[in-house]
Order: sequence, then C-alpha cells, then structure tokens
Amino acid sequence: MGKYEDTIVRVFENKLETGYDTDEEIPFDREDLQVAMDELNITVRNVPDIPYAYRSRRSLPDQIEQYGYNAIILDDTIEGADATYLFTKREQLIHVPDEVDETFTTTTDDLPDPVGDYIGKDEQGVLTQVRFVGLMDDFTGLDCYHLQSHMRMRVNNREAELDDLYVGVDRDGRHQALAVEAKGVGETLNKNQLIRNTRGIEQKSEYPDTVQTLAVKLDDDGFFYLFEFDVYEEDEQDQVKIERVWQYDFEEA
Amino acid sequence: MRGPTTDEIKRDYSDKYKQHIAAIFRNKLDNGYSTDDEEIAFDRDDIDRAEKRHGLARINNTADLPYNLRGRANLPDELGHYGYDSVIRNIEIERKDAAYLITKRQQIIDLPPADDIHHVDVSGVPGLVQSFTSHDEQGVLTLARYLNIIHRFLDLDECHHLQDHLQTSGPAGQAEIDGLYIGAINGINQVVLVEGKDEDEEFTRNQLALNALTLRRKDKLPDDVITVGVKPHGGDVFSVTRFDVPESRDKGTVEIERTKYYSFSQRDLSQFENSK
Repeated sequence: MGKYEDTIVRVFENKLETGYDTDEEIPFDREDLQVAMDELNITVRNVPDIPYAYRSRRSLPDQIEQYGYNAIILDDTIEGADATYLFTKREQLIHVPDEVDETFTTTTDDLPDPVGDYIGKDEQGVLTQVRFVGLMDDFTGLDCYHLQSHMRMRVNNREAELDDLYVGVDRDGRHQALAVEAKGVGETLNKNQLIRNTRGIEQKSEYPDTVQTLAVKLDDDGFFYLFEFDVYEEDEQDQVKIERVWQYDFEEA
Repeated sequence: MRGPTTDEIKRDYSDKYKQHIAAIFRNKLDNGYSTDDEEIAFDRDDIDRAEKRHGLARINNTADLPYNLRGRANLPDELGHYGYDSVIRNIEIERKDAAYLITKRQQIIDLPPADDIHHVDVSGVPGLVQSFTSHDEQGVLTLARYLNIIHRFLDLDECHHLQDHLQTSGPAGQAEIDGLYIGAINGINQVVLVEGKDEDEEFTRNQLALNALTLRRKDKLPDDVITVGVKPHGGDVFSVTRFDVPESRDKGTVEIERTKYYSFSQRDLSQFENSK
C-alpha cells in the first residue's frame, strides 16, 4: 500500500477502536491523520491532500469500502478553523453520464500558438482552454467575464477553494455569479465540493445574489464536458442534482 | 550557549513560530554552529525535536515558517542580535522535504519610491469586471490581465495568460506560482512567472528564486523564465517589477531590474450599482 492508503486505513481502524460503529458516518480530523502517520512512521508533505485524494481522485481502500463507505467529505455541520472530515456512505462522486444533453464540435483556433503548446490536461489547463475559446458564453448563453481563478474563501469558518469565478450578464442586464469547478483527466467531481463552493459565493456580499453552479471535466479521450447543477436544500441537507451536461469535442486547428 | 528551558522559550515568545525557531537556534549553537556562521541549516527533524522537547504547538505546514519569519522584524530578537535576517527554504541542496536555513542574507526586497506613476486607461475593461474586482492582489492581477499590463510592461512580441495559481513540485519541494504567462520575442517562447503580493506583503528573494528554479526545471515549459512581481499600493495604484533572478546563489542575488508604477484611471461604476 502507498502512504495515503496506509494512513487512511490506520485512521479508520483507530476510530473503530475508539468506539465508532460502522453503521454511522465516522468523523476524523488532522490530528487523527497525524497520529496515524506517527504510528506508521510515515511523513507526508501535504497532509490535507490525503483526505482530498479520497474526495476526488481515489476510491477508498477495500478495508474501508467493505463497510459501505464510499468517500470522504468535509463535515460542514461543525464550524471551526480546522477541517473535520467524515467517512461517508452518501454517494459523493459525480461521473460523466452515459448520455449527454448536447454534443458539439468546436476548434482550438482561438488558442494562441504559444498557449496551445503548453496547456496541460489538469484542471488549470482545462480552465485555460475553456476561457480562451469562450465555452462559458456558449454553455450559459450569457456574456461571461472571468474574474479570478483559485478563489480562497471561508465556508462555515473553514477554507474552501473555488477553481474559477465568472460573472455573467443576461439579455436584460441581470448579473449572475458563475462558480466553476474543474476536473482534469483522472479526477472526479464530487457533491460536497460543489455545495461548499456554491454556498461560499452565495455568502459573499460583493458578488451577484444569483449563483450558477457549473463544472468542466476533461476525460481520457479529450472530450470536455460542461455541467450545470442545481444545488438545493431538502430535509435540512444540501443536495446536488445535474441539470444538464454538454459535450465538446475539439478538432485540432 | 546552553539549550533553552521550556519556561524560557514560552516566557520570551508567545508566537509559536518564534518559539520554534528560538529553540532550534539555541540547540544548533549547542551542537557546533557559531553565531559567526552566515547560515544555520535545519529540517523537519529539528522542528519535531523542538516541539517534543518543549511541548510547543505543532507546525502542521512547515512552509508557514519562512512566511512568518521573513525579515528581521519578524525574527526573535536574539537571532536579530547576531545579524540573522530570515528563515528561508534551503533551495541549493534540492531536498523535497522541509529543509531550511536561518540566514543573515537580507530577504525582503524594498521597492523604489513611486516617483513616476503612469495612468492606465481602463475603458477597455468591461464595466462588469471593474465593478466586481477589488483593490487587493487578486483584483490587480485580474485587471492587469484584462489590460495586458504584463505584455506592455515586458514589451514582448506576444504574451498570453496561461493560468493562475500553479501548484507544482520542484527540485526544492512544493512551489505556488500566482500567475503564469507564455510570452514570445523574436520567435523564442518565454515563460513569465508572476508573483502577486497584497499591499502589506513583501517580495522575498528566496521565494522568487525558488519559483524561478521550479519553472526552469519544468520540461513542458520554455527554458527562459522572466520573473515579474505585481503589488497594489492603495487606492488605484499598483506596481509591476521585473526581477533579475540568477540561476543559483553563487551567481548573485535576486535584484530588481526595473519597477513601474501604474494607476487605474478613475472608474465610473455608477451604471452597474443597481444590477445585482
């Protein structure tokens, strides 16, 4: 097993030893990760990346999954500066659906040559390509203006990071904030992150009151998928539902 | 010098970063270093040892050490007394884990005074963008992008924004780069590294050197790296600075090549005030 897997399994085992039952969601925090790493004599430079990896990049190890847990999420029910995580059985990951609502073919003609040579397949590369070719305008039907990338904000007194923020304006001049999450090849969208990003922008008074929750995902075959979500509250819990998904295929210029 | 007692450390300093570095400093002097040494090396083991020995609050992210202990004013007095200036990443040894130096080399780069301010016409920036951008580092970076300020300042043939906030691993560990542009001059591509600072922050030699080294070693990017700093100075004034960053410290120190101050001309946002 790798360091991440060893650590997260040890955290899970330690929590069971302290009395948690596998019928419930199990909370843990950074201290639990540190204790597990100390016990295993493991050093990880970016400790918060361990739970993050199991939020969007990796499946939980079999030793945890066998009890029905399928993801790690941030626990938004507890306010505080230090992140508290949950082993959860709630379905978190959002995959590209087998059938999309629309498919389009477009080109990379609008990408300047020097940019096209160096664009990556990670989330930032995806966002760069979306910005240069104007996919947000096309997908939303709004005039979209990119405001900033990688926006750090506080949600329930904890840090959240939004990949891209646009402001869109419709034909009647009304403004909307567009909260965009991006995932590159090998990464998966997750509900918890979309909810936190949406709530974070909603709570910021300097941006429009209407917030659209959007995402862009690049798959192994080079297709770009743009998602629109509905983030709503039901039974006092935030929920996420896919509204539509459009697929874009880029022909080489 | 003898190693400090826990009472001394906690009595002298309330800040956990100062507590840690004071404990590490004294222990290093007890174990062979002298205050005549220009630099004192330490690593994660020394940080953990100080924490355990004195019961100090844990430093979860060791990268916070050089940030919080940059410049003499932020160091414990006893280090400043011997001429030490800052805690920096130990770039030259190219360890990816936490390796640091207590150094006497001055780290904070003072910008020249704003004797000459160039006014920038912001009419080309969509009013909507102007109305939603702030006056902080992020706001200035956004407006600079819309106004092609980096392109104009560097006088390149082409200059295109590639991405913001590049988090990447380099030869000396993790680096975070605020903005990345790809430029071209005479058909040769260049990577433009943009470091943004808020009004109350400073550019430091060690951070600029680390980021430049990280990009120079990236196979997927052009070999030539231009380092630029962008910083707001209150109101609508901001500066853009080009730094000369030698490939290593034995070839010189990071210095300012030139700085230009800009002012965004008065923004008329009245038409957007009721549009939310």
